[in-house]
Amino acid sequence: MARTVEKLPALAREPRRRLPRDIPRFLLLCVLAMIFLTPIYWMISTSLKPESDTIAQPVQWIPARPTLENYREILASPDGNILRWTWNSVVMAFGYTFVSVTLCVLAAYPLARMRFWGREAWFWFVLSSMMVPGIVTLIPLYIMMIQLNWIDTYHALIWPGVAQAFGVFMLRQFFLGIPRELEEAARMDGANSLQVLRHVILPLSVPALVTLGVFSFMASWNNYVWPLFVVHGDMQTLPVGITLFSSRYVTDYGKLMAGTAIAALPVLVAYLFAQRYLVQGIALTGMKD
Amino acid sequence: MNRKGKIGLALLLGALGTGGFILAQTQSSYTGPKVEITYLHGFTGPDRPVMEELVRRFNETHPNIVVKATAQPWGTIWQQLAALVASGRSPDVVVINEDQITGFIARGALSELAPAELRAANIDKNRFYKALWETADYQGKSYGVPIHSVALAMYYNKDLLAKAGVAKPPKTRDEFLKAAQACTTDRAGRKPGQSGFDPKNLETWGVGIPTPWMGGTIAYSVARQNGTNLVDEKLNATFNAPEAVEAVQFLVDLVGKYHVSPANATEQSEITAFRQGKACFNFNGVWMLSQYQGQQGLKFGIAPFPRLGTKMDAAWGGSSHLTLPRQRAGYDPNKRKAALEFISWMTQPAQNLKWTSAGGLPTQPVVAQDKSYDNNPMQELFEALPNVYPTSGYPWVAQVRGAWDAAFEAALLGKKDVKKALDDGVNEANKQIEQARQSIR
Amino acid sequence: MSARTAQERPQRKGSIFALNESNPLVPYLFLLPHAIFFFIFTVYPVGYGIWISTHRWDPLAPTQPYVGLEFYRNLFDPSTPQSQFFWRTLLNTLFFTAVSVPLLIAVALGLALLLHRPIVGRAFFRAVFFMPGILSVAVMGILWKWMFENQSGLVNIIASEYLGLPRLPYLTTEWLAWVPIVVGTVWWTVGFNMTLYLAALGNIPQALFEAAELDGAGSWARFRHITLPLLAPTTLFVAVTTVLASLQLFGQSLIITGGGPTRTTQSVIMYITEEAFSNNQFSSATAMSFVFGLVMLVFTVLQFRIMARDMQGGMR
Repeated sequence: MARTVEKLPALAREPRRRLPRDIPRFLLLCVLAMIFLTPIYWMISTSLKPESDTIAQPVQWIPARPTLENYREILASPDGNILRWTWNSVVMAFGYTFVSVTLCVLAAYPLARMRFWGREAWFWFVLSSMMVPGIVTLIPLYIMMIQLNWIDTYHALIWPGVAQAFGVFMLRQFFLGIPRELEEAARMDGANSLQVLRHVILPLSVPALVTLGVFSFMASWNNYVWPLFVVHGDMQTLPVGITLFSSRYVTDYGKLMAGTAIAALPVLVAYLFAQRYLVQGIALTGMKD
Repeated sequence: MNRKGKIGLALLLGALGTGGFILAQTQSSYTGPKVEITYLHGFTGPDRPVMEELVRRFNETHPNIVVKATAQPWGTIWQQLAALVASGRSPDVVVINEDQITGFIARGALSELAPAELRAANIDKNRFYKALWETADYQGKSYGVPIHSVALAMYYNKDLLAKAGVAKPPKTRDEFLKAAQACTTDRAGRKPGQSGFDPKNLETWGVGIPTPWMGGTIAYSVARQNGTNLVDEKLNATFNAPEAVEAVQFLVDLVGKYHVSPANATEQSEITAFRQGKACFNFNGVWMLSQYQGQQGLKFGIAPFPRLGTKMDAAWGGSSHLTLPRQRAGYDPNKRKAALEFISWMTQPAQNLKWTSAGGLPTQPVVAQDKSYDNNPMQELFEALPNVYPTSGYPWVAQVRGAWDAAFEAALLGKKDVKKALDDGVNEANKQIEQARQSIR
Repeated sequence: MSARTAQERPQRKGSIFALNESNPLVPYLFLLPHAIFFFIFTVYPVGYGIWISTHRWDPLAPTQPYVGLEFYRNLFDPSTPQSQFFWRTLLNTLFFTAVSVPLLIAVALGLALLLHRPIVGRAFFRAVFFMPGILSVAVMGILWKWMFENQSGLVNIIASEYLGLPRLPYLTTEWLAWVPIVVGTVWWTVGFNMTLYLAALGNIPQALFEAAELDGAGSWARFRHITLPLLAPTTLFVAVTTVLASLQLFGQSLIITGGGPTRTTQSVIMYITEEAFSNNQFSSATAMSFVFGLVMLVFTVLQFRIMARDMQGGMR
């Protein structure tokens, strides 16, 4: 599990003589990439057209009369509080990730390193909750939110999912792989359990923590079903806000696409920077031998 | 889809004033101590600034009442309201739409507006269109005052009609069929009925009949014109009556027999086709007006939904009503009085006139007569306002409309014959109703 | 997993909150925060759900009467709308899973094979194929709905204006309505599986291929006899996670087709939320979610077993 993609076998050593044989492969990749990028291109192109031109015949690949009017209107709309929704998503995703990773670290550590009554039973109990699909608890949790008066609050967005089982499982596995000797040394110096965890285990677990963090963040950021029902209006998250907001522009394609682009662009930019961690994290979880 | 949210006539905002009306009551009916009331509504989009302006004016003219307004998408209001009422945290005034209101009344979420209260607050139900007011009635009691009204209308492309030789927009089934056939041409220029006509490749056409919600709305309007409703007096589904079958069959025939509508239309595809100048007619709500006005090169008119049925004029209508939800015990009676004053003021002719600048229709005849509408194309619809019928009056509109829309869709797409589709739909709806009855008191 | 005890170390005195090894409560203190949330938001809701599904729960009603298994029985009584729609939407969901999972595996493997060996712009291509996956389902759904619009969608424009093909009314034709949903889903999530395959491919020792090449094995034979078998564990993992994700189909259908035409693309989760939030039948919806949970259990158990095997297989 502790391997990373980046040190995968010797890619650079490939013999140069294969180059001509690569040309069809390269062309195929180019065609595929174009297909993958078409919806994104079309979104941006449409968002820059005046509404009358969005359904023009013949089709306008490049806006004939480019304008930023759609963006201006979307950002000025009193209902489309896109910046607020983005902020809500950020609060939810960071809050959730921070709390969840912290809880998982604390729970995984004794499960990996200490001996105590009920350890195995508890571990399997937590793990078995992974067999309960989210939909089963959706409605009871929704009703609990009503009773707790948490509808339309960050509480509803953050707390319900923080005690994940996957994170405990993953971190426990990783901690088990850390040599005990390092820990012993710290204990000799008089460190208590929390200090050992903080100064010995965690620094060695950065890849696992990043992986879990990225996953928790993505899961929370893209969560759609839960926020759709528990938050409304200004408390909406970006994905939910943008769909409800867009439903007003069903046939107003320029604005619809401008709104969609505004929702997509920050994520795309963030992706350019975080790409490496993301890919690494996915590779880490899937790596089984 | 957020129907009422699409209402947009912002273009006309400047053209309209509130002149012509002297406030019917200059004195507030609330004289108690200063109170604050909360007001939850779903008027978003272009409606929102107009509503906010009205609330601002109310607060200015009523120093002892402070209204705090919140706008949220309609769907989320329905989702939350029951829980808010149950936990005693409901807003003081909530706007509820025609398809939801009877359900909330029957489940006990709203409080009755007693005749004495209405009188004290100067709210006279005879001022409003009758069907509109009665939308918020249940078992002989009133629960809401109409603030907003929309209706199904017919848009027509003037250029296409002229090209097809149709002099004026059709009003009856025969006129409509003739006009629609004159409008329809396939890619090779052939007309319906000519040999080789290809109904799958239409260049221009009469009108597209879409699915599911808008199609159900159109079909409901024609069924009403045939003199039937979706439910009977016992509020059970009866939309498989011969009149309803006839209505649905006619719409299905527009596609399969008369070939004046493309198969597989959607509401969106028909809006696009109308904007592109391919469809002579488009059936949709008054809220489409502003988008069509914004389409370059599109010359169009708006007219009441034609009489495609056989007995009477009728069209689907939607409406929004100001209501007072049930409150916890010990609720401040001054708040209720202030809320009633707010409702009264909001629904006065002057305010209604101002409100229609956002794209709604007048809620009362006296407003419809105002001179400021003289150059407004929407005026064409006013004569038909008394014939507007909301899908309302039974607590299970969602269940009935769901089954009706699905049955219509199945018939239109040719999955079932009309009678069978409607029979199955009625069967399904009545089972859902039976279950829903258990939550009704 | 040989946890040594702490007895070797000198004992220190402390209160029950002291985090040193002499305190037998330490492990429990570590577990406590997670356990509290786990009980409140995972264990309790399951129990509460059972209670809701056996009562007629309505927030506005003064009482919530006990109804036993009525809502479960409804699902097996063919005369109720619930049984009709629940099983139909479940079949829809299974159909979507059966179509999309093989595609998501095959396309992901294909892309990974194309990108495995070095090529100009490799990092760029990998980034492009993965990129859609970071968009929210809302963005993805709005984009693909519009791409497949009957009248103004780019797919139909390309078909009719450039290829001379007829326009197809994707969004309103049974079966065809699945096309935008499946194409959109593949576009959206294939990069994730591709990344898993790329990592696995990187783990196959190059020497194996070189030896096979010397033995005269063609590229198909090498793929068939070396690559595929070695990728089997990854494929199992990919398959199970993809099946689980596909069974939870919700946003794509909701946004692209709204479940239509005539409910043919409505997923079971969409129907459950409709029953709860539109028909106000929370108890009935909860009962359905439990039955659906049982159906999914087959796959969640499988996922669980893979993870458990992973654990027992020894971690380095």
